Amino acid sequence: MKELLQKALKNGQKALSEYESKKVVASVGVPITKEELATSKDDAVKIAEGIGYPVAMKGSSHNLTHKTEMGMIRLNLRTKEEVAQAYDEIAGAGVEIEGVLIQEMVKGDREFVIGLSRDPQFGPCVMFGLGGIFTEVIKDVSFRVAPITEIDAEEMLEEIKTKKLLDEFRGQPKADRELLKKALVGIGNLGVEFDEIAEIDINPLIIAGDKPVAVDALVVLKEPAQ
Amino acid sequence: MIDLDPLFYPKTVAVIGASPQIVRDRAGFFNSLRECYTGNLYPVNPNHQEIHGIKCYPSISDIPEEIDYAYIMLPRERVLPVLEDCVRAKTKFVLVFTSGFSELGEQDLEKRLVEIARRGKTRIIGPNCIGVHCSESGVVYYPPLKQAEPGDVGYFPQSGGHALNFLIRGISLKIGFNKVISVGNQADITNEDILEYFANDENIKYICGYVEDIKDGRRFKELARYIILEKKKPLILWKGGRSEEGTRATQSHTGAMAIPAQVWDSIMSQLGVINAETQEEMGDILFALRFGFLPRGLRTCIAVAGGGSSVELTDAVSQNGLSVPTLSPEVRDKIARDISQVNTSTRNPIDLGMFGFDPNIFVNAATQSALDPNVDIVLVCQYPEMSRFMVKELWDESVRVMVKGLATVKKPVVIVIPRIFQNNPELEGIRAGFVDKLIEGGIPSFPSAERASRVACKIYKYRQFMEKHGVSL
Repeated sequence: MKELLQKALKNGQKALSEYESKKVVASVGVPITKEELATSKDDAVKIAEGIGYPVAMKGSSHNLTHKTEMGMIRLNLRTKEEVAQAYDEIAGAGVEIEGVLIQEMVKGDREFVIGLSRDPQFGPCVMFGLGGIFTEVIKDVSFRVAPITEIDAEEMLEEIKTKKLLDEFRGQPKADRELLKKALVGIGNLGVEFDEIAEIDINPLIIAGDKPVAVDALVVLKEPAQ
Repeated sequence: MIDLDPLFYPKTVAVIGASPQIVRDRAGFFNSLRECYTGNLYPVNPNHQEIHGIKCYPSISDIPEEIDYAYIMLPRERVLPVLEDCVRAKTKFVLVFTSGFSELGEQDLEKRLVEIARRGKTRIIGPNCIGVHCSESGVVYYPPLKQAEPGDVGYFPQSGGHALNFLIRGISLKIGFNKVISVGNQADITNEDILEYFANDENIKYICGYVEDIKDGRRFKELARYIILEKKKPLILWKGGRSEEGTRATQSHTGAMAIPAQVWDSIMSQLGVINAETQEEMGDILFALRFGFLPRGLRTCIAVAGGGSSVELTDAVSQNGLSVPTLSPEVRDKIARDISQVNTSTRNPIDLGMFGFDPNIFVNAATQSALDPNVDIVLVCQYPEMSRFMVKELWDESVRVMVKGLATVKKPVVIVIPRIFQNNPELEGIRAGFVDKLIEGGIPSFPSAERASRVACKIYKYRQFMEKHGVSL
């Protein structure tokens, strides 16, 4: 982990790519989508077949922090032909990328956000709350200073206004709170252990059935020392 | 831990810049000390041989004793050389009352203060603050604020203004302050240093503070844990600048959402600090805590004379976090026995009708409702202004019965005394007299149900935190 972060910093990167970011958060217990990076069209198809349709495809680069706006995302691809075409479109869009990320499509009505930020007074803080595209508009989130305990994590789940979404919802089972709490504790530990990491965004964290799955992740690196 | 004993109980005090008159905005601390301080007081001012009969010295180095606590009450351009004098003279603690340092962006100037202090063993309070108030040693801000007893509250406000405001508020609520210290810019001595000292001071049972910024977050966290869970002292903090968004360089959505006020609130929850959002609230919470008001839940029974009032109170408490459950039939019967069936209700809220002005019936409603297992808090309400109109001659006896009776209620009880007549001196006096008697009887009172409810919720949250961490109160 340390080497990955150090290498990225030496490379002058401001952030890790989604692919790398997901690896980082997965290492502390955040479940992530099944995914792999493709560097050729054939690769892409092979990976898609391996994961199973439908798949999503995203242009991958540590510079791409807001992919939707740049036309780097294709969702719900169901055949090799669609995958192949999507690869061409993404790779040919004129945006510099390291590859195309092929990942499973995750279905779930409930989206949450897990994050890490650094408070100037208190250091690394874990955030949990309602996620999705309305995250910054609704702002239903809770914070705790890291390192956090499972009790802290439980309180975070209880503190948000939309906590009922963690219960049974529209025929979906209640969310796996143990997994969620472990994920929150893990993200806190990342913040404590690696000061190379400035911020983390995991959004959306979709509850698929009862399991939380990180569908996107962003690890922002610290500013280089002046 | 820094030994702050010589700061709060100095054997020798110097006031540098003392003057026979109180000039412009310079506080008259020398006069306060002259009147109240029991140790050796030395004014320092090259322009005077003596001030009000006390020998005055041209510089601190001329004083025959070493000084424990020196006040520098001089314009900013004279502070540094005088501070050098103090360090050479081995002064233990120096208050730099003067402002115009880091709070105005003069970081370097402030750093120089500390550099000078580090040439010796002198420690600096401030700059930009009013320092110590300790009744026991007579080092006080103003003589009327000196309390006869040492008190059990330690208060550390970052602002001098809030030092005075809250001190006055607390004294008027009969709260005893053991030590108060305004730390200002925290160039040297910080909030954390004070917290550590208060934590280990056995005479201090409650700690409260007004905080604008924390210099060492990690140390603060550890100290909060130590104070709250190990020393079992409630810590109440009022954070200033809640409305500031703060400038944050951020690339992520998380960073953009980490608004300082929300992060602060979350951390306070995490640490078990009682988070007061206003000065008034900090006062209310401290006031209630010292009466042992520690509700185990938020289910509230309301009793008052009047249906309209009962609805008003129910709305107020419900909107502020409390619930109002129906009373059990047995309890309702016991209460209903004394009152007519007409124009009353015992469901909860209890509307005693005109019988609410009968102190015995009023007290009975409170004591009976406390016996209901579904009740955590008893909230009663009185209108002394109306009682005075109706039963003027019986008021004093009513007060006696109510205070004695409410003290026997077996659950946390609070009395709301709304102010209906605004600005009437006679009625304010009656009200104040009533509150005084309630304080003597150990019963917390508030001018509104909203305030009472907010206090109950915050103290309950504190209690829950303690119990979750294995400490029973």
